[in-house]
Amino acid sequence: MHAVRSPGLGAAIGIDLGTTNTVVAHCAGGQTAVLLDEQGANLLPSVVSFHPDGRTLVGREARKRRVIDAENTIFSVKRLIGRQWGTPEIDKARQIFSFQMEEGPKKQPVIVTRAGKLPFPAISALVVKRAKEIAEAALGVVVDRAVVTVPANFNDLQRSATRRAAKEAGLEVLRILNEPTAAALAYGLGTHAAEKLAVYDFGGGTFDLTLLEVSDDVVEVIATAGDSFLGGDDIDLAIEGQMVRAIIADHHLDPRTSVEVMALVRAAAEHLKIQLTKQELAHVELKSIGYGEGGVAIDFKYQLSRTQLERLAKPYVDRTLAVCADALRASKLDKSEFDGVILVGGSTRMPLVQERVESWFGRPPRIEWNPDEVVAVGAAVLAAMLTEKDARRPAPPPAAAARAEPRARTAAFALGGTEPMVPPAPKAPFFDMPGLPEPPPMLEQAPNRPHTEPPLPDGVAPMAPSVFPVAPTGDGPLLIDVTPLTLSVEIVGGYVDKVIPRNTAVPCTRTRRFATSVDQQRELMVRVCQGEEDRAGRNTSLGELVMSDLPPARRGDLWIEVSFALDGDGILHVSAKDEGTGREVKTQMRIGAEGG
Amino acid sequence: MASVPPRRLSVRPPTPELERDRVVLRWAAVIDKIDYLSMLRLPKTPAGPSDADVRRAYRTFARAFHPDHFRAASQEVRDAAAKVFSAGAEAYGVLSEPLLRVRYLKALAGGQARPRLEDLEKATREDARAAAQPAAALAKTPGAKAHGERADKMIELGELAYAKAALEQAVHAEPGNAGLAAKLAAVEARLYAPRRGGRR
Repeated sequence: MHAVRSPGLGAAIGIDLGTTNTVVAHCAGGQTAVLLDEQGANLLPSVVSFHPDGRTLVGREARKRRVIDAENTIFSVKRLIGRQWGTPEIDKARQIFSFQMEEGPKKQPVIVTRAGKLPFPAISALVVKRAKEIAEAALGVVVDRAVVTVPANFNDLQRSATRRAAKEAGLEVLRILNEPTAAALAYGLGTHAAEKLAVYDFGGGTFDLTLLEVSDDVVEVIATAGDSFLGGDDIDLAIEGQMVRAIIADHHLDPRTSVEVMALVRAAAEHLKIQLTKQELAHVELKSIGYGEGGVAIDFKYQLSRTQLERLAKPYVDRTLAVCADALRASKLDKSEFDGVILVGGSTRMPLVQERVESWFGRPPRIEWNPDEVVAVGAAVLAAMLTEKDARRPAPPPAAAARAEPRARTAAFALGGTEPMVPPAPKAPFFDMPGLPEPPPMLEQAPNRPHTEPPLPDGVAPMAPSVFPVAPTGDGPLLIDVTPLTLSVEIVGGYVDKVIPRNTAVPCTRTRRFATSVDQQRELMVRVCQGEEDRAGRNTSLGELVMSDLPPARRGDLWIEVSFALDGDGILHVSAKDEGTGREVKTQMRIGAEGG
Repeated sequence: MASVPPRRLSVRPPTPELERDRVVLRWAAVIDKIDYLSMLRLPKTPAGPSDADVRRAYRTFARAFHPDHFRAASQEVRDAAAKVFSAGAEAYGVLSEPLLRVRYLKALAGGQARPRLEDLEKATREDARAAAQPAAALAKTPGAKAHGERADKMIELGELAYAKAALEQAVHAEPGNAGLAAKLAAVEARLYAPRRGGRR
């Protein structure tokens, strides 16, 4: 059951689905634009709120309800997506978040809201859907495909949950892309033969440093380190603390007793921080934060200088640099080996951050793109790269017409619509190896019919065809996707056997042979997990394949060949074959199947 | 197209895309049997291809077969491209990893076009362990030990080519010694320029 993918019907966008904010961008004809909503805002808060009147609010409207309807306003889902019930992350979130969670089917947590019990991807889907609407309104065309970004350290469960969220929102996911890679793409990755890049991503709630190595169109993540509870929000909180102390000192009034006043103070703190990225001095005035003697409304004026702010922010910036040092140590590289440092995330707009990063890495960081938008821009660039390849190619003719004359080209142009597209002229094969015969002329064969090789006589080694298919011309770098984390199987003693190492190009296939470990073993279980630890228990468990009804045999006499195929959509196909009988068992580990 | 005899001109030439699909299917039909060097179209020289050659060849290969190029093709062609690409990526993985590369080229010279990757990796792990020990300790017979001692000294001096020669003599003196063979493979791997700054 394979749906024919419809090429080039709608537009393809890039979505940076962030912890705090989501950004959507589009690229066409080499021009990339961040798409703005009706109010002209580039950031869509990743917040969903279920209103008592039945409406579902997404974005700024929803964020406003964080204080007044905390139990039905869901935020920071990205911290939770793809995590199972009972993991430390979920336990921690249950303590600190105001919305309720409970265990759903298959150990998948669900959020209990006014609109029912919803798994995490369903919440993210609402944000993606809103992003899609923004894009459609801005572009004036249907949007049906997207590249969606995730942090480099997301495992396959988290990636697959993100993919599902986008699907639920009605988008075909072209690629799940690492955020640092997206940022590097926005800065024209692959312009040099080989380079090493550091991506410093200091966002609203999280900090990540990722070290990338780019060569041969392959982007490898050398190391990534982060603090998932360190961000611009912490600096806001520090300013807020100062303001609260000032209010108490000036007016003998504790603003912490009123939720509404605290919301005002928090907003003012963020406003001050943003003002101070451009000014040396900023002030705010909060009207009627309380009532003094005789019922006179108290207004609170506060001013903050950049120097004061920097004193408050310094410990947090220092913490980011400590994380950088960790990542560097893990990579065994020196700071001086990096060809560039890219800044990502709103908090990197602070002059203090830029100065400290510059002095730490010993080179000025790149910040030409808006650091809030750079990831979405890179995602849009990749979306354009992938779909322009699609557009250049004729649609496969419908099955019935497959035997007819190759009308595919005209059919595709009818589909493509607007302007005529000319397929690239076939390029000469890049070289021909001497001594190899020319391929047989193929013109007499019916077009589009699969060519079957004649069976080879025994003992004759098959020879590689002498030509490569002609690659499309004029493309940017080909971005080869790699596995983020090692895929392993659990072996005796709770250790792991690493089957597909991290940074392996996707799609890929590997096989392993296992022997039974006890006499008359009836069942063989293959437990698959993901992560870099040597102990299976410390890695993330992905699932298991059971082969039962094994023929009776002594231990070690029965060999089972297990093959692992990771396809381009991040789905792991595991199959086990009994080498003696040839019997095969297959399972599709659509990693993290439902919920999650 | 200029070389096509005139009588065939009545047949409309296939589009470049259909032509491309057919080439992919032809590759997919043989990909499981052909060796890594032919796959990446690298010449079979005694010393094996250089690191730069391997990278360049893989890049060309990936540009030709990466499944991204075949998004709009039929399911059959997409599967074929994925199959060919993953085999090429495997070839690159083996040929760019010094220890694996040495083991593979040995197997290839012995007539095995596609030894099991699992076995290669296992042998490589043994090589890595052997590399940590002095060759003299791995050798059992006095003759092999003498060669081993010389090899250890050469390794210490950074004269890897001489170390290799000494180890070859040690292996010759003691043909069944897996440890010495592993040590030799490890030295050969070091002789072959390590990939990009030796991170791996």
